[in-house]
Amino acid sequence: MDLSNVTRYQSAVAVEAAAPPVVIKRRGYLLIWPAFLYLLAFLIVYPFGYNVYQSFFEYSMLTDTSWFAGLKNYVGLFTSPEYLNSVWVGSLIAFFCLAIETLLGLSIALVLNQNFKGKVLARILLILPLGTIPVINGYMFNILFFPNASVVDHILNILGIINGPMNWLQDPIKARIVIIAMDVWQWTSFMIIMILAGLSAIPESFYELAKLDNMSTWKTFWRITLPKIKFPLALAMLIRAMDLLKFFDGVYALTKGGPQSATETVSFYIYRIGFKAFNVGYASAGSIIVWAIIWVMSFIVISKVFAAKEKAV
Amino acid sequence: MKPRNVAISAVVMMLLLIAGMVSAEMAPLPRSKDYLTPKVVSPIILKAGTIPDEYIFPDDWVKKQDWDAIRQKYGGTTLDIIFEGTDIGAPLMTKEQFEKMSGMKLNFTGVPNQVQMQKLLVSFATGSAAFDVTVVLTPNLPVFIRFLEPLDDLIKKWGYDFDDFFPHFQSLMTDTPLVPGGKVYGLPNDYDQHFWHSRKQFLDEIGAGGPPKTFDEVVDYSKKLKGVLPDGVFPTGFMMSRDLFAWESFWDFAAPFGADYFKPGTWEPDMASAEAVQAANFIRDMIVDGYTAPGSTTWDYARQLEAWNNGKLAMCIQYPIQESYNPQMSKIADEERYHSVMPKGIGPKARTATHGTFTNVALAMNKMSKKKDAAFLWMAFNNSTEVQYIYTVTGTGIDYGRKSIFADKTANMFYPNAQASYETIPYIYNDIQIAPGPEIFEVMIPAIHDVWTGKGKAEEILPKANQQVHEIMKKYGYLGDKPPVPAPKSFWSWELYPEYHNLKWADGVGQ
Repeated sequence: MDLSNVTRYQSAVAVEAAAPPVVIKRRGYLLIWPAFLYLLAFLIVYPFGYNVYQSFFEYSMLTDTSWFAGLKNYVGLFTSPEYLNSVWVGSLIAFFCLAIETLLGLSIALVLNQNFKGKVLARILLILPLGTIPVINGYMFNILFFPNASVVDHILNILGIINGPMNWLQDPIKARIVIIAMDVWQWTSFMIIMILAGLSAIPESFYELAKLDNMSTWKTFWRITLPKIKFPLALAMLIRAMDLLKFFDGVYALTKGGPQSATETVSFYIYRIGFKAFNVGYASAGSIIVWAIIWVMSFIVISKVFAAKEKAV
Repeated sequence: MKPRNVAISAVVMMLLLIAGMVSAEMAPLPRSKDYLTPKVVSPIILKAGTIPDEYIFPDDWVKKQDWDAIRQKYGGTTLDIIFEGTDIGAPLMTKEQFEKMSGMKLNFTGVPNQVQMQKLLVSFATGSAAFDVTVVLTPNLPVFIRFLEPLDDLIKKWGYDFDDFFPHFQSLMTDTPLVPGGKVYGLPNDYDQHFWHSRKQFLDEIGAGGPPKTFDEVVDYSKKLKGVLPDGVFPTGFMMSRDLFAWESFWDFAAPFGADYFKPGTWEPDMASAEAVQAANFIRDMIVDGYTAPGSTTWDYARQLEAWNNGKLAMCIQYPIQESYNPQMSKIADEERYHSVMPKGIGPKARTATHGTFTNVALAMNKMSKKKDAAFLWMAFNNSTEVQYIYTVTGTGIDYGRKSIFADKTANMFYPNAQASYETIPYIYNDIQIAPGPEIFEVMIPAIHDVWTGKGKAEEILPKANQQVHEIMKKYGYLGDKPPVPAPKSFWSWELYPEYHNLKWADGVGQ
């Protein structure tokens, strides 16, 4: 047996072990550098930079014409009733979805965190909607609420709750309710998973102490549970808020932004302008504004909530 | 030889014999008799007469080609073809026969109608368009011309009977639509046009002798129908979803009321005229009065077709929808129906018109294709007379637009839409066919839909949209001194083609 290789390996390990931590850290950075640069350049910097660049041009793919527009696209967007409406509609839908998903997710997670028979099965069933492809989910809801063939109407009629068709997708408020219901059905599971992860990290001893102190369930929730799940909850809400501000699939499959532009979210508006009217510059500017809104929102949440966590640690 | 082996040999021989007879039965070129079967065509159509054993069109282009020579020269070539997803059943029907005749191989990719424009434009613009032939909706053709091969030389070289198509249909394939001249960039593939469909039994019930002739009658019929229709059946239902169907349906009403896209002979938008406003409000009133099926403001083509084929409507505006005579697809396949020219509008500028050509489909060739002759041969085959006839009558969604088919009595016998289709030709209100078209649609569609869904009155909403269209036209130079393409003097075929004034239907043929 040739022991020279073994010896060489052992000495290499010995040298590595003897190297100061700073050197090892630097070497680590050097090794990930090519992949990091590739990701940064081709997946982030170039597409984003190109988007910013296009937003200063009036570029139409239809005619293949382009000219420098300066801030015209941005000014146009901020004075466009359609764009402002889409921002408002998007925010409104996002607010209600987030609020309902958070409250529902929290309530269900608290129940699932208890010990009861069939807990595992309940958890599995509750996270199933998360596996549905969003656009398929949209088409499913289309069938559920489709005029004249609405399964929901049929059931409500049988139960005697309504009489006749509800025309869900033709009334602005009802159409928004359907859109919100669709998102809540799919994404509450995500909130449940995130909150459950936080709940499972709370040591049992905290609750035992609370019992010794005769603390009520309500007080235990406010003083122990909620503060302990604050960070996973904030993270889940942030991720959902980012997603919701870009809400597209359901609108595309269900309402196409109608009726009366009542469900035209900002992403759908940008899609129409970018991929239907092919007004690429204008659509780019629209997406940059959305990006800025999401960035500012994330920055505030991260700097406030997570900075507080680091401080606490 | 053992008796068992003798029996096996005899069975094999018989099977070979039957196979030989069957293959001898099947004509080498697509023949109507082989395709018009009770499986896909309603008995109500088949009882109209006997389908000839021979070709219905023995002298069409396809039969005059030397397919042996073609096979020798182009055999082994593979063609990549993009086809509209909903209609792809049509070319797939004749794929095998074409491959056998030509020795070529066809690869089809179906692209859904709704995303066709995006997929094509992005693949062309990024240089990744690796196909030889593609379908293009005619209103989008000007956008793609920079990527397409002009076909004039190939048409000449192969003696293709392009002139057999109606003049306005030919014109839509050029780079100067509705203006004489221009290079040809597509072969007419699907002559979709709208007309009025009614179910006879319901019209009989209200004592109407035939389909409505004016939109006043439409309202009158709808009112009466509401009283007699069974639960779940509605007087009318249109394609009004918040996409291109809203645009199409709007002009199905606005054009008969006398509205125009632009001021005559110019590119100055006129989409908020008194007639356009009246038409938009008319549709809104029909919705409010319950004359349209609930939910039709969310109906696209598929949804409306589904409602019609399920017997939920008494009347509708649609393409020929021959598939509703297919017993596999329709509950009303055996029911008698009227197919008629659109009702006349209301008001001082009322006329007979239909927005019938939006989805007219051109088969176009990628400029970068290395197999131009082979590609053209398939395009010409696919658009040849008997092949187009077969596609139409079997309800694939492809509808023919050839003069020679309308002039053939036998062919018309099996196509209940033939007369309406022919008589509608003069009244086609052709679509805007300029490169910024899609940008105009994205302004007008939400506005039209807002009126229909009750956001406001047309007189408030349409002028704002029209102003936005004005800005678009200005931006692309259409309102300057030198517009990129000349404005047609009219979009209405009746005004453009004097020869159409003489079209007559008599004795089962178009004359």
